[in-house]
Amino acid sequence: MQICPDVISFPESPECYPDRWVIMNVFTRDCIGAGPEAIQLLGNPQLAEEKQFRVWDIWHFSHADGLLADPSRFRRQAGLWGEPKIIKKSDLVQILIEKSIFIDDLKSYRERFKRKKSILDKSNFGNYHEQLGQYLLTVARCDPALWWVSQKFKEGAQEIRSDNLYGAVQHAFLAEWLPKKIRSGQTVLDLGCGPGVISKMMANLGAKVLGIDPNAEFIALALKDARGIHFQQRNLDCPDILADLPDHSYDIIFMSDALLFYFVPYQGKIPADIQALVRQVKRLLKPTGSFLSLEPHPVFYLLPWLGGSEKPFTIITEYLFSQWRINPPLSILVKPFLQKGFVITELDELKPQKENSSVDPRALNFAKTFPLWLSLEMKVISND
Amino acid sequence: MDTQDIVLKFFEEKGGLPGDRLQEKLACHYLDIKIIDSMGIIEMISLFEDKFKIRFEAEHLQSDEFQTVGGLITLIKRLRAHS
Repeated sequence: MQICPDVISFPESPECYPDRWVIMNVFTRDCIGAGPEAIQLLGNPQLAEEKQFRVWDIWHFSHADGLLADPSRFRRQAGLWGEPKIIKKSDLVQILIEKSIFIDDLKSYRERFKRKKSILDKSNFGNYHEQLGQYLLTVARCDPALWWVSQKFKEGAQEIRSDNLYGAVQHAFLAEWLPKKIRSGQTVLDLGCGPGVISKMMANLGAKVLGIDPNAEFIALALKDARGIHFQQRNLDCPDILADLPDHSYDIIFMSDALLFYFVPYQGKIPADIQALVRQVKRLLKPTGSFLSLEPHPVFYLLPWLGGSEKPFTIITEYLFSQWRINPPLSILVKPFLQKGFVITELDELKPQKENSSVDPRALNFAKTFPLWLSLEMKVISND
Repeated sequence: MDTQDIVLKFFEEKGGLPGDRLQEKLACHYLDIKIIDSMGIIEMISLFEDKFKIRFEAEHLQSDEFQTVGGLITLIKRLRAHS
């Protein structure tokens, strides 16, 4: 048995509870709360058997609190941890093994970082989407697609929520960005339009919008108040699914939180064909048209929020090689477009524009320095 | 039909379990042989909960017992006895 090399420890609420620490495996994102005597055990496994240890069961699947809730997976504020369990060394060691803080051997442990074989698989850690799907389907027992809608949109899915980072950052950005990019009378294709809220923002600017999404439930929500917009359910996984749309017919092709599914596996499927999508985007755009993309940031989306709420920091556990995360690195994201003759004409990393008292201050402070979304504008300059 | 018959019939309708003898079928790790996908698992859970008037908790679904056909039958019988 050995201490896992992926483990960190840090104090939680040190001003009031300097003796309550978090011990976390940063790759498995599992953790416990513990007194410093437990950290002493990490450094010296030969500690006396009769010694007692304080531990708090603080891990919880915090993504369930909200898609953009604190992704750190432990209960904040050590003052709310309650009474510790007082346990002996052998029991603590067992907990540390269950939490992948102690491991039997490094090779077997690394083997567990594979995709989950099914939603009941507990031996392989899987990626974020698999973990979220497993939680929603087996613990919360709800439809992941409808759960996602409730995270981003108000009830009825006609408006973006203002009490989380979707509203405070993404929607606030769109409210400023879209009027600069879209003029009245322009034609817009919204690919992966979800329940159509952003399609309607663009239609309100006078654009003629076609919204397409593979999810029939989302399209049904969009059609409840279509406001003259055309919404269609189409399986965007199929390479020729847009073949009937005329060449060079759109001023703007827009994708938001949708391009990532062309790069990472989702719900057990292989990613959709990005090359086919790029070919279609290029064919459908007018010569002066723009492809607008708003995606989770390649680096910072869903990383743990560590440190004090006024100055959070994070630990980046992967970048070029994606094992857990849900979106591709920047070069992989843009390469299929650049190879087909697109150029990037604008790139922005979104941050909160103003204070918002309805949003968790830690969330806002994190987003101020670690952007959670990336916007891109790309245009075609070459037919190669 | 008793619990075992109903569960075995479910898997037979999904394409059948490997092995000729009952003991082989009961020992089968059905998740490993891809007889049902993730959505099929969700359907199976709902079907058995409705049929047997039981409720699988998260710890049941994550247990080793749930992973084999025989373990699943034993779990369902136990939950039925306590319901």
